[in-house]
Formats: sequence, structure tokens, C-alpha cells
Amino acid sequence: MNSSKITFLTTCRWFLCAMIVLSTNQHTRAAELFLSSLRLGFTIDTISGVDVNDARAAQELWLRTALQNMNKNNEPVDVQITVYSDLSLLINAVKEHELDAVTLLPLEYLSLQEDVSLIPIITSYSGDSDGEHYVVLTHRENNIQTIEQLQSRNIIVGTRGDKKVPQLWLDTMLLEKSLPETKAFFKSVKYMRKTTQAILPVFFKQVDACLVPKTDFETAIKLNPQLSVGLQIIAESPGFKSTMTCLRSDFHDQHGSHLTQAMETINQTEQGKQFFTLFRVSRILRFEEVHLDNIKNLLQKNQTLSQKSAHRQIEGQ
Amino acid sequence: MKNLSILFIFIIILGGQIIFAQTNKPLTLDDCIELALKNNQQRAVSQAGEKIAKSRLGQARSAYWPQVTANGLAARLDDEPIFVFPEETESYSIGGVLPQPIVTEVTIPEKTIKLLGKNLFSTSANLMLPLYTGGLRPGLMQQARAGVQVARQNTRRTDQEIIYQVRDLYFGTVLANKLAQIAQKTHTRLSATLELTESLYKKGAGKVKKTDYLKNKIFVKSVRGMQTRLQSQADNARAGLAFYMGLSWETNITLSDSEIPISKTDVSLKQLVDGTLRFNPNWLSLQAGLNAYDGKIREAKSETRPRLALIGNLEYINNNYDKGVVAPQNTRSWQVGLGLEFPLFNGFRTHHKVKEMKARLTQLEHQKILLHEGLATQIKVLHQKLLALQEHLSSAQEALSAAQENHQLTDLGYQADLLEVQDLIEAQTIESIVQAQYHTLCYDHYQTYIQIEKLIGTEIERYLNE
Repeated sequence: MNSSKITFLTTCRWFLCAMIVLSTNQHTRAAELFLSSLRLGFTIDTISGVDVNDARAAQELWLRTALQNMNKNNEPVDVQITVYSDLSLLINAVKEHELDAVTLLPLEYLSLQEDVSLIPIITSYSGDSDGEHYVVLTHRENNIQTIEQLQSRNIIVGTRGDKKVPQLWLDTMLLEKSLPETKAFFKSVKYMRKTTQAILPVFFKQVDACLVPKTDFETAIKLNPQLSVGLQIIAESPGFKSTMTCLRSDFHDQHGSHLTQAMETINQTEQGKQFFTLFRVSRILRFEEVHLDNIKNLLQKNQTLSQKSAHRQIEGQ
Repeated sequence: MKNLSILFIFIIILGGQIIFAQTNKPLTLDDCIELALKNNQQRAVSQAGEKIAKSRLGQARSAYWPQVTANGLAARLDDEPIFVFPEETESYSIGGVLPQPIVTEVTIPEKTIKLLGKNLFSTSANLMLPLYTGGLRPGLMQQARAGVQVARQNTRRTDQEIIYQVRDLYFGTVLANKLAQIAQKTHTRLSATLELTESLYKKGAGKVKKTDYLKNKIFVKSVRGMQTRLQSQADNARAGLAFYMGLSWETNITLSDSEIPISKTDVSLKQLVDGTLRFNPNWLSLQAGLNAYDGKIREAKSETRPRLALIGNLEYINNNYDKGVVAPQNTRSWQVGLGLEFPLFNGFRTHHKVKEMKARLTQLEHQKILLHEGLATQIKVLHQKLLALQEHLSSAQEALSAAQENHQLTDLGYQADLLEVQDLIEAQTIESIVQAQYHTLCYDHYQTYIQIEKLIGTEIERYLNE
């Protein structure tokens, strides 16, 4: 082989190497800046008890941090948060491509999944690995051991976030026992945003029962062990996930995997952990269909029992 | 040839990576001590001092061996040495032949006698064996042996200092890293909170005011300053350790330990003082010094005593002349004898010299008492400090557990909306402060512990034996 051929081959090799390096750089640059803006919406029910502006500001910060962490060069990300007073308005916004992503309560998602094509990517919740459990508490000295004994008595529902799921669970439980639904069964039902505002009146025997998240009750016991002496659990729900983040299907095709990864890994940094703590999120998981099993079962059971109850009422008339 | 070049480049790159990997391997404390003992120049100085002292001992020991010397001479003289026999007139009286004795004078004229030829070759061997030196030799031996002891203790002291410094720097670096990490964690947490405060104050419902944000910002920036200072201290500590180990300033070291060991001891003060008197290099050097002065006294006393030595001589001369002084009878000779030297009077110089040495010995014995008390007091102070630190450490450990539990519980309380964000930040900050206090105490405890070991001088034996 003569020297000119060697030179030619060497040049080709260098060119090939240079191409590989350049293409790798292009790829890396693309990965460094995968998303420059995101429009997220949620309904007012998702943030029950929290001021809309505060929730919007907090959500914006949370999302911007997650996305900026994914953009390796820390380029700013334009995040727009819109809060909707009604679920139908949110559905329209998704359909009109005004939103890329939505944060929903599981019940909201189940109600709209047939109207609009959304792909859930993340579920977040507090409580144990199963989700948030709800418990009905009574005072031991009042001798109320079953839910039936609470008929015509007072109850306080103290939940920080979703009110609908505990309400639905309570209704279903009453229907299972062939009892009237919450409003008719109890003498009065009060809703409180803070768990202590529900637990303490029961402890001081001012109210007969309360419905609170189990983890909150357990924490309250850790802070004040006397509560465990005075209070008892008479009913406990299965675990439910708190919220779900979904992407518009075409947006998901483009950015789904990156966004999922960004949100999944946010708590791997100290800053992300702090945001988790500050935003009161215990766990964040990649969405799986199984996460909706409990709520689907509850919904189904509630519908079946409601129908039966309606039939009974008609037959009775 | 080309393939070989590529292979060569590959080997260089791979080799470079291996070397890089080796220098970046986290160093254990033992690695650091080994490196420091290998590279520290002061150790080489001390070891040379020990060799000098051993050589001096060899020199002193030579006094017990016979001193044998051999001489040789091959010379060509410009002229043959002569002996001039002067003219001599003698009077002779011859009696018995004649009635009157005959008196006559005979004059022998001046006569020149050749002593040896111009070419001279001579060899000789001399032997001198001291039989008795009046205590000079044992005195010198005793001093030389003490010199070796002192030099050996100097080497131990140097090793001890190196080991102590490395241990101190190593765990000082671990502490600095730990504090920098705590500060960084605290700063990150507070920054995240500040971001949220800023976001809520600018875009939120108005419950969070600008003053809340500014107060938060002041605190975060103070912590940031603290974090920068601690990070710089951690970097400096690492650089200091690398320098002490004799590594290049460009070397970036990482340490394998991330926790400071807590070596609790229940050894009594008496045991520690006894240990110090057995192993402390200063104490052992002083003992050797006492022996050296004892030897000096013996050396001084020997000046007044007789010295006896066996002396021998063997000689052979070769010359091109066989008369004169180089007649065959004179060319081979030997002699054996005893030499004796007895000093009679030197103006009381020896007497005063002995007195001086005795005074010096007494001075050193008093210094021994001072050193004993000094060492015991140092040990006592350090022992008390160690016990106090052990107590303090137990409390700090409990405080840390409480702070961690408080943080955990506050976190849960905040999650359940039972506690406020201020409670959470306070719990996080308190935990960080208590953590920093605890680790600083661990270091203080460790430093006191190694100070005791340095004073006793036992820890170096373990490292040197390993």
C-alpha cells in the first residue's frame, strides 16, 4: 500500500471519528435542553384549602426546579400554571392545546379519561406505600365501637387535600351497611382543613367522631401520646393516591420520558428533598394502572350500592 | 511499525489512566502515615543522626582492639650516608722490653666510614594493645552507648511527631469535610425555602411579606458565607495533609474515612503515667543522658590513673650495602615490651573536671524530677480533658439523637399540617447545628486521645512494627 492510500485512509478514519464525536455532542446538547416551556393546569379541588395564588406560585417553583435540573446547562424554563374552577374548563383547555400537562385528583381523572386523551405519568401521595388511608375516630369513653353507633351524631371531616375520596369512602361504607348516606346519617358534618381541628374536638368529647388521614392521626399521637389513650379507630379505608400528573397525548409522545424522569428524580438532590418536604409530598411514583385500583373499586362499589339503595327506596315507596 | 506506535499510544493512555486511578484512590489513615514516614525529610535527618551515633559507638569500641600499623619505605638517597671517624692520637707505653718503658705516640688519621648504600628499602610493623586505661575505655563506651540511645529516641520522637501530625491532619480533614457537607446541606435546604418564600411573596396570596423574604435571605446568605469558609477550610486541610505526606501540590487527595473514630478509654491515670515513664522518648533520652554523664565522670577519673600497654615492633631493612649500619645482623629485628604511663600531677585539672561532671549529673537528676512531674501533669491534664470530653460526647450524642428525632417528628407534623413551616426550618437548623457540634466534639476527643498516645509514645510502635 503506497503512502497516499495510507494518508487517505487515515483521513477517513479521522473524519469518521470527528463525525462520531460531533454527533455525540449534538445528542448531548439535545439532552441538555429538552424542554424550554411547560403549561400546566389543575382544578381548584386539587388544592382544597390553599390559596390559589399561593398554590400557583408553589407549583410553578416546583416544576421549574424539576425541569431546570434536567436541563444540564440550567437554562431557565418558562412555566405557566393555570387554575380552573371547573373540570370542564380544564378539559376544553387540553383539547384546545392550551395546556401541555394537568394535575388531577384520581376521581377527576377517572371522570374525564374518556373525554380527552391524557396519559398519566406520575402519582404523588403521602401516607404509606399503599397511599393515604382514612380512619374514623371516636373517644374510647363514649363506647362507640361501630359506624352504626354514630347515627344521628356529629362528625368532623378533617382532610388537608382531597375531600371527595374520604367522603365517597364514608358514603360507600354506610351504603354497605344499608345505612343512609353521610348527610342523612349524621346529625351534622363539618369540614376542617387541619387535622388537629378534627381530632382535638373528639378527644375533648365536643364531637362524637372524626374522619382524618391515618398518617396524620399517627403523627398526632407521636406528638401527643395521650391521644392514643383517648381515641380509637373504628373504621379504616384502603390506601388512595393523592394526585396524578398527566400529559396531553401528543405532548407525551415528544416529552413524556424526559418529564417523567425529571419528576421522578427531583427528590434525589437536597434541594428536591426540601421541596418534597415543603410541599408535603411523601412519595412520588411513575404511574401504573394498579395505582387506581382502590379508587376504581370504591367508585364501582359505590355506584352498585347506590343503585341498590335507589331500588330499595323505589320499592319501599 | 505503525501498529506498534498505536499500541504504544494506547499503552500510554491506559497507563496514564491507571496512574490517575491510583492517585485518586481514597487514602486510608495507614496509607497516609506510610507515605509521610517514607517522604518526610525530618525522618531522614533523625535516621542519619542514629547512624552517626552508632558509628561513634564503633569508634569507642575500637579502644579494646590492638592498634597495629605497618610502615614501608623505598628510597634512593642522593649520597651514601657516612660516619667520619676523627683523627685520633694515642700514647702508648711499652714496658718490660727495656728497663725503661718506651713511650710512643700513634696518630690515627681521620677515617670516613660508609653507613649504607644509596638504595634503601625498609618495612616495619608496630603493635600497641592497651591493657589498662584507668577506666577511660568503659567511660567512652558508656557515653557512646548513651549517644545511640539518645539518637534512637530522637528518631522515635520524629516518627511520633509525624504519626501524630498525620492523624491530626487526617481527621481534621475529615471534620472539615463533614462540616462543609453539613453547611452545604443546610444552605441548600434554606435556599429552597428562600426560593419558595420569594415565589410566594412575589406571586402568592400576600400572606408572605417582603420582610419575611428579606429576613430569610439574610439568614441564607450568612449560611452561604459560612459554607464557603468551611469548604475553603476543608480544601486547605486536604492540601496541608498532602504537603505533610510529601506529595506534590498538584495532587488531589481523597480520604477513605468519613467518620471520626471515638476511642473510649477506661485506663487509669496511674497506668497512663507508668506507661509514659516506660515509653516516652524524652524520658528515655534523659535516662540515656544520665548514663552519658556517668561515663564522662569515669573518663575524667581515668586521667589520674596509670595506663599500661603492650608494645611490639618488627622491622626489616634491605640495602645494596651489607656493611655499616645495614650489616646483615641489623636488617631483621623485633622487640616486645610493656609501656606504662603514670600521671603524677596536673594542677588538680582532673579533680575539678570530675567535680564538674558530678555537678552536671546532679543537675540532670533534678531535671529528671522536673520532667517526671511535667509529664505526669501533662498526662493528668489530658486524661481529665479526655474524660470530660467523653462525658460531653455522650450528652452530645443524646442531643444529636433528640435533634434528629425532633426533625423527623417536626417533618411528620408539618406533613400532617400539625406544625408550621417555621417549626420545620427551626428543627432542620437545630439538627445541623447539633450535628456540627457533635462532629467537632468527636474531633476534639480524638485529638486529645492521640495527644495522650503521643505523650506516652506507644502508638508509634504499632505503626513501625506494621
